[in-house]
Amino acid sequence: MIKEIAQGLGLTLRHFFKKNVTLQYPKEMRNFHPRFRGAVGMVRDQETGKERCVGCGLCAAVCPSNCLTVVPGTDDVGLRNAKIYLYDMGRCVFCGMCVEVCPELALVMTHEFELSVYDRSQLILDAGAMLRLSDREKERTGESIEEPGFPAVTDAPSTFLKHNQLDPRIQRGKFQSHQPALGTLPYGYPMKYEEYLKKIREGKPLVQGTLPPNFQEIQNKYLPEDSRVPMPKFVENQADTAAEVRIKHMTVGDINKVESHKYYDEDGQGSKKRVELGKGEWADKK
Amino acid sequence: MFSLALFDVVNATEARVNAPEEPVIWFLQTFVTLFIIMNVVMVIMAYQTWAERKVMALAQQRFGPMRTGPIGLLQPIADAVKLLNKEYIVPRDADKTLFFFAPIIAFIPALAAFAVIPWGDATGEGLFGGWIRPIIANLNMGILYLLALSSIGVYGIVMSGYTSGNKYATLGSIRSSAQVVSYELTMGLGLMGTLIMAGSLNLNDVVIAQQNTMWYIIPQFFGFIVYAISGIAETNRNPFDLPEAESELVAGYHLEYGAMHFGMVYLGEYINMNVIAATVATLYLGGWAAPASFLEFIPGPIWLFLKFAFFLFIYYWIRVTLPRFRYDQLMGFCWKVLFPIALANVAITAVFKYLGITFGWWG
Repeated sequence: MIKEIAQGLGLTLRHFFKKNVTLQYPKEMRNFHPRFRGAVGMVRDQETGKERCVGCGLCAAVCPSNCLTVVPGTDDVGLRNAKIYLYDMGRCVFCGMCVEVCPELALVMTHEFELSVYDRSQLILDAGAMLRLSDREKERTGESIEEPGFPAVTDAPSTFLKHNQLDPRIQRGKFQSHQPALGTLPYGYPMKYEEYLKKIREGKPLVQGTLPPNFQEIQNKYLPEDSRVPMPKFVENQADTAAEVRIKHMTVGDINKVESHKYYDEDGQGSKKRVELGKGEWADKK
Repeated sequence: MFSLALFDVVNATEARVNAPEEPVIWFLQTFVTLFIIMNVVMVIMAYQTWAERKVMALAQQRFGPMRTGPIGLLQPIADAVKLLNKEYIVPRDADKTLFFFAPIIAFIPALAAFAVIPWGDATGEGLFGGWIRPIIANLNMGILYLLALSSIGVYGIVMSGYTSGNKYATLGSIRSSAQVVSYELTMGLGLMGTLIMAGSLNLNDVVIAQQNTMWYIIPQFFGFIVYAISGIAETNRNPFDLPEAESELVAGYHLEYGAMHFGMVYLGEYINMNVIAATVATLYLGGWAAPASFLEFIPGPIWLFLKFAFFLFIYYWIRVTLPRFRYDQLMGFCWKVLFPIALANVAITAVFKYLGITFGWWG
């Protein structure tokens, strides 16, 4: 018993000298994963600057807690719009189904979680407030939440940083969870609209960062010669070798005789061999 | 007249206290010393709540109080302000007068026990020509006074439980008082070893005797263990805190107290811990003496504080590690394990001393 007590005391003493695992919240922010589901925001159309919503009401139909109210109407330009769009954050359960179902990709889950208000009426947002939410997000990251999809705004990167690994120049209020690991941007990370246009016009590959080798190979086929990404040696002819192997097995000729029957035929009778019921080792088993 | 009688009681032999001829001046000097030492002790007690929370938190890899003041240093003040602002509730079935006085009776004897702990060499004059003495009262029966006061503390526990008018509080207080009384016995026996070795009940003499030989923690190791464990049990601290188990009996015998009364009981527990820690520091760890002669530039009181802080750290360390004893395990541990060890310790020490004096190797 004394030994166990001493072991316990040693354990607590060791933990006394280890680094603390808690966050000092108002001064240090937690690094959320990209698919974190905070308050729902509306995304602006890049060209017009207005919201993309067409007032179809799918989000209201699918919402499990009835927190959305959509009444369609017409824009001053004549396009269909949502005349009334109300989002009750008090009822919202932050499930993200409205984002998933929107046909115009007009909704996105922002990373806003500090939602306390002094009066419950302040929890009901209209379209303008929701636009402001996503604008705030854009200010903090410096990039817009472009091309959103559920549940992530992008493919999740293969690594995201813990709060104590972030760049120390990051201060509170900057949107920290979209910081990729130091170095390259991860696959499919959203890019600025202007960059996207530039890349299309110049014929540059759209995907930033590096792709896994099989996709890179495919992409290389469609790119002009000079902008192909050089591949490491071992993956160069993967597709060709695969094709050869397939072709080889399909041909029956003098060179590639199918001789597998020889391994199964003990008597030498070939196809004349029949299984005789009632005899053999299996007949004796009950 | 009264002060003369006090003078005689306190000053059993001539060489104990360098007292001036006038009893009134002696009294005033003692009062100044008392004021300073008690203030220091009360501040240490308040900041113990902070230290405990920080140590327990760091052992659990979290921070503890961080927002009140720089590293949570204003937390005790925040707690005090909160407690003072709360409502003082008296339950309907409570005995009003005793209910009021019970926490005070739990708190005051522990504070009074600091009167005999030497913060510096008591044979010397204090600072400013005797106005700040190193000890408040250099009693020749120092240890007896300490043990007697901790026994009076039991009254506080019993009273607070019984007068709460709540059966669970009463149950808690009965268990607690049985625990405290049993462990007081082992506490006294644990101390006996050091007193036999030192040859005097006066705490200052014990410290000086330790300077001549080694610190008594080494020869009296088992006595130290017995005393430390009994001390933890005396103060109702984890792992012996079943009577006041926070998660079980909802603070047990002091559950009906609000506001500053709860504050008194809660702080009384910390003061009791301080007394035990200070006694350990004085009797086993060498009191105000420095461990080696080249470290003597650090003054006595600082050494005593460091040793007692070390023992308080052990208190917190044990609290954060060990689960609680069940009540029957607790009592069994006292009577079946600690009591025989303490008795054996006393007997062996006494025999050694007798043989030492007879054969002349007891210096």
